[in-house]
Formats: sequence, C-alpha cells, structure tokens
Amino acid sequence: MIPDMSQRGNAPEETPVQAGAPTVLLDGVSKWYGSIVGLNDVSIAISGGVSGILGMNGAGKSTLFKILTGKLKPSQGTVRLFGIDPWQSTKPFGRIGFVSESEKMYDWMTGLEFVATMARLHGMTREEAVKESERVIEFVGMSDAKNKRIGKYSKGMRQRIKIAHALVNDPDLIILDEPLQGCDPLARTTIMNVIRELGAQGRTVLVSSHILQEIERITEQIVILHRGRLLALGNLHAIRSMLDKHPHSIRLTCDEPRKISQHLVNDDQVFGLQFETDDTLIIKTQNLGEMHARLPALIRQSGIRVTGIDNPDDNLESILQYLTGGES
Amino acid sequence: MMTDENSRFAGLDRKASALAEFTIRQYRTKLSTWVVMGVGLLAILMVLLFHIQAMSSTQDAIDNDFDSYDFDGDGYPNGQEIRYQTDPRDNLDHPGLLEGDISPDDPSLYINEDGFDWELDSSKIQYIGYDDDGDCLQPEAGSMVTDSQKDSNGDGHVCSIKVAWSSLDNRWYISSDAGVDEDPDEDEFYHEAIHRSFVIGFGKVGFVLLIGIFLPLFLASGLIRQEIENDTMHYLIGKPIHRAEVLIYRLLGFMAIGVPYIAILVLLTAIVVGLAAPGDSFFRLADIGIWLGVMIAAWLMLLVYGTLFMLFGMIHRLGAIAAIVLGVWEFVLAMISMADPSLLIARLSVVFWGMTIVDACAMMVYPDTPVMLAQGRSIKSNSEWSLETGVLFSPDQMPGTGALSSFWNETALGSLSPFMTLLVSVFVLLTLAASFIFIGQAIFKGKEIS
Repeated sequence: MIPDMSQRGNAPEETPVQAGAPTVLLDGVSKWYGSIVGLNDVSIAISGGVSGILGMNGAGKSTLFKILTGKLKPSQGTVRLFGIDPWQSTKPFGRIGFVSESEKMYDWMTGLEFVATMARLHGMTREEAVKESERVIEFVGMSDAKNKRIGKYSKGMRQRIKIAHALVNDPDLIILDEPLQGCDPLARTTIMNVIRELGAQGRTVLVSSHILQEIERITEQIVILHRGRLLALGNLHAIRSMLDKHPHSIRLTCDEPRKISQHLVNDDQVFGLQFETDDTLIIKTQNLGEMHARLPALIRQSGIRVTGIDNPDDNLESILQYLTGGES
Repeated sequence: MMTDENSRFAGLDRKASALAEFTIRQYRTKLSTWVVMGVGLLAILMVLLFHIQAMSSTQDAIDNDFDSYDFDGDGYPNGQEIRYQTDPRDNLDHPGLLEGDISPDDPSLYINEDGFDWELDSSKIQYIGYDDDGDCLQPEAGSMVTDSQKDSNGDGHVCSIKVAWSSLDNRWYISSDAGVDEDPDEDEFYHEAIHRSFVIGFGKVGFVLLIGIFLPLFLASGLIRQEIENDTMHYLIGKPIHRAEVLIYRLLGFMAIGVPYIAILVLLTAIVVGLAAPGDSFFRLADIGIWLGVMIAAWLMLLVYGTLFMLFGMIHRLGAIAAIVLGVWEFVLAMISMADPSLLIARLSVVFWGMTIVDACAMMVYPDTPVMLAQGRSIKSNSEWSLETGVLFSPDQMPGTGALSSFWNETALGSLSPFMTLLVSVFVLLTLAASFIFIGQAIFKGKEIS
C-alpha cells in the first residue's frame, strides 16, 4: 500500500472535468457488504431539477448516497460527480451539500455555530462563514432559533439546520436522505418548499423517501430502488397512469359497510367488494378517476354516513408490487 | 499564479483552524476532559508534597571519620589529638600535656567538617577534593609527614581524590587520600541528591511516562472513533478536505489542549520544586534547563501517543484495547529503560526516547552528578574503623545516593554527547509521529464510513 498524501489517486484528477458531464453519473454500480447486496448494477445519469429516490427501507437509498458522498467505495462500476470520482477525490464535495438521515448532531453547538463551522471547513473565512450561514438559516426559516443550542431543537428544527448546513457552500448538487422523516407538519411544508425552491434555482436535488405522497408533493421525476436494483426511472405520472390500467382499491369508512355495498354492487365500474373490518369496505375498480367521480352520488343514494374515503394502494408498496409483478 | 497559491494556502489554513478550533470546543464540552485533566493536576500536586516533605526533613549528621569521638577518654576528641600529633588511643597522651595548655575542643566541630569539593572537567580521570579540616595536610606538624604519606592512594597527587571512569561497568570510581573530603554533610548531600532524583525521576515517570500515555489514551483515542460511533463523521469528511488533513487537524486540536496543559503542569512543578529545592538563592534557577527538557519530552510523547491512539481508534472499534496493550508494553520498557538503558530492546518503545531527552538534559544541567554519586558511594570505605572498635556505625553510602543512582542515566545512546543524544531523541520521536500519520492517513483514506 503506497500512501497517497495528495489523495489524488491514479486517474481522476487528470480526467478533465467535462463541461457537459452530468452532475450525477452511475454506471453499473454495485455494492455488497460480504454476501449482502446493497446496490445491484445501478446506472443513472441525473442533471438538474429535483429527483425523488423512492424505495422501502433497505432498498439501497442510503447506500447510494454514501457512495455518492465518498463514504463508501463501490464494489463495482463507475461513479462520477461533475465528472470526478468522489471516492478518489474530495474535489466534488465543494459543490455538494449532503443531509444525512442520521439524527446525530453536535448538540452542544448553536445552530449558527454549527453551520458556520461547517462553512469554514469549506475554506471560508470566519466572517464569510457567519454571513453565509445567516443567509441559509434565513432560507430554511430558522433565524429565530439560530442562537439556541441544537440539543434544544425539535426534530423539524434539527432537520432544517441540517439542510442549512448542506446549503452553506452554495452547492450545485444537494442530497437529502429522508429529510421529512419525523418532522411536524409545519417543518414538512417548509422543507418541501425549500426543496422545490432549490430545484427551481436549477440545482440538482436528490431526495430520498419511502413515502410516495411526500415525494409526489415535491417532484415528478423519480427513481425507484428495490432491493438494491433500479426498478423504475422517470415521471411519476407516467408510472401512475400505467398503474391506473390495473385494479385499484378505494377504502370507505362507514357505519354499515354491508348496507352500502348493496348500492354499489350494481355500478359497472365496480368489479369487486371486500369487507375488511366491521366499519370499512374495499371497492375494487379498474378506473380510479371515474369511480371517484361517481362515489359521492352513490353514497348519497344509500343515505349511509361515510366518514372516510381513501386509496390504500396509492402508496409505494403497491407500485412496487405492480412493478415487480407481485413478487414483493 | 501567486494569488492562486496564496488563496489555496489561505484556504488550507482556514480549514485547519476551523477543525482545530472545533476540536478544542468539543473537548471543552466533555466532562471527561475536565476529569482527566483534574486528576492529572491532583496527582502532580500530591507528588509535589513528597518533594516538599523530603526537602524539609533533616538527616542526622554522621561523623563518618569518627574524629569527634574520644576513644581514649582523655577529654580530647580524636580529631584534635590527630591535629596535635598525640595518640588518640592513649589517655596519657593528649594535647593538654603540650605547651600552651590547650583546652579540649567541642566534639561537634569534628562532625561534617570535611565536605565534598570538586570542580568538574570533562576528562575521564580527575584529581579533585580539598582537605577542609587539614587532617591530611596537617599544616601545624607538616614537617613530620612526607608527601608519600599524604598520597595514600598512590596516584601521584597529594591530599586529593582520584575520580576515574570505568568503562568496564560504566561507573565512576573514587579513591581518596586519607583525610580528604572524608566527613561530608549528610543533610546537604541528601537534599541535593533527593532533589536531583526527584527532578529526573518525576520528569521521566510522572510527565513522560504517565501523563504522556494517559492524557492521549483518554483524550486522543476518540478523536476519530467517537465521530464514527456518533454518526457525525460525515460532517467532517463530506467536505473538500482530504482525510489526511482531517487526521492532522484533529490532532492539532488535541495538541492545542495538551501542550498548554503540560506546560502549566511543568511550570507549576518547576516553581514549587524551585522554591523548595536546596541552594543558596531563594529560587533554584539552574533546574530550568531540565524542566524545559521534561516539557519538550512530554509534548513529543503527547504527539506520538496521540497520533497512535487516534489511529487505533480510527482503524477499529476496539482500538482502545490495542492502546492499552501498547500502554503496558511501554510501561514495561520504561522500567527496563530506567534499569538499564543500554539494553537495545528499550529502544523499541516510544517512552525510551522521551526519557532519554530528560536524561540528556539532566546530563547537561547536572554534569557533576557522576562524581557526586561516586563520592556518595565512596564514603563506605571509612566503615573499616567500626570493625576495629566493634561499636561504631558508619553508613554504607551517603543518604540519597541510591535514589539518585536509580534515576540517573548517562549511557542511553552509548557514547553520544548529551546534546547529540537530545537531538537524536527529538528527531526519532518526530519521525515516529510523521510516519504514523503517513500510515494512518493511507488507512483512513481507504476506510469506508458507513
């Protein structure tokens, strides 16, 4: 082992940074830990805009992010950020902001101190760091609490300060690992707005989540990971419309599910009814939109009080189920 | 181009100060930092009490040459009878019978009346000593004593002490003419010997070995490990900073805490010991050189052990165990280094080089210690007299000689001069630290942080 003081590695530094190089490029990237596969032959190129990385727990989202941020070395394949290998060079990190899913922070620092310290690690002077930190803290709406200790922050405040720290170097690529997890509704809305705003500014943003609706409110561009494999890539609407051709479920919560079913059974959009519990009824339909349009009238006819309508399979699991052909 | 280089270095400097400052502040918030430093301070203060106690105690004066006794019971002490050429073993022969009606002297005049005198030079054979009480020179009856009688050790020098270096067992040996420097002041010798032992021994064991190992063990092991365990490492390495820099700047933060801490402890020790130490002046300035050596040695220990322990923690979760194993190894070799520094195995430890720095400084500050030790040991030759009378007691050697000889070392690096020994040791320690960082950053660079 020849120590490499400059950490320059063999080739990457010499590889010219191509002007047209995609922000994120993965080519046949696999990562395994012993016999456990974390990522399996993933190839993606992403430049600009907000992309949602969807996947269940253990699908490989965090592994992907750790490879992108140079914490893990891919077992196979090529990773390039702005055309540079992040494992070999620390150069890309000047243009990246990373928000880890870990909740651990330096609780003894104030929000401003934390962000400013991180800014100084990017090479800013003390004054620049404070100035930039105040700017990003304002951006995430944390100005009021910037001088409080992080240890006293709520979950949502911590999450926002983490996002602020990732923005302090004015990055071109922002990676957020489950940024909405455990946040209160107010923080969620703020964070979603921040992410959309960042995407609108032309930056590349990668957001991971295992909740479909969350991602849906932020972006349409999605990447679905499942068991380490890239399952789908593209527009969420396109994926949804493929789904729409398949049976959907609508769950009604009401007092007398059996009674209301009598009014529904004759509708031609309904092809199945299922009694789940004492107060819920599952309606199976081929056309979700049409069914939703007809439901109010049908319910009114029955005269039975309905307290809730929702779509139990409008979630990641059902998309995965559909995409994998039911194997999950 | 110039500005580009400047800004790059400026950026490096900013990152270094940011990470080092962060590390210092992190230490400040940890209770363990204060506990470790507090315990260190308490331990030092306790040991200082021993020095003060030793310095304020008194040693009984011993009449090493028995000339304050009156063997024949005629009222005149032996020393006085010898001076007047009367027979100390015949009560019918004493100075009172001589002309001028001489009255008996106070016997205490003949205790501790002929102390050690030497002026040091660097030669391996020296003729030193001065017959303070005149029982060798015998000015009053000099005509009756021949030069060969005054040169009882036959070295060709009258009323002197021959100090000679024996390369056979690496020791100084003394042979003295009878009556030269034969009744030194125990109290003075003891205080000087114990003071020197304390300065050298405490420097080597207290600062170089104990503080040098325990401070890094508690404070440096977690520099990288705790960040990994706490899942906060990504805040430090997800930046445009090379991992080697992260190691170095973290270490810098540790040193920024450890260096002033050790400086304060050494300074405190130097002041207390300097005030309590024997000497003509109120404060013993001469020791400053050796305390500087102790401080530099302890700093270097901090650097080398700090690097090692930080790397152990970085490499593996159980790195602290390796650190403890290394600590035991160092402790054993430290004991060996003190018992016999010429054993080559001692050089396989870090602590040997630190202790050698202290030894080298001691050689420069107290160059006369070998003669002092040899004289302290030589005093036992007078105990022959006690065999004759069967009742008198004389010590085996001067009090404090044993302590001083166990801490004093001058053969660590063979025949190198003290200054060269110092330079070589400093160089070895710096090289060790640099190579550990070099190896460590190579490992860290290839380490996956999950």
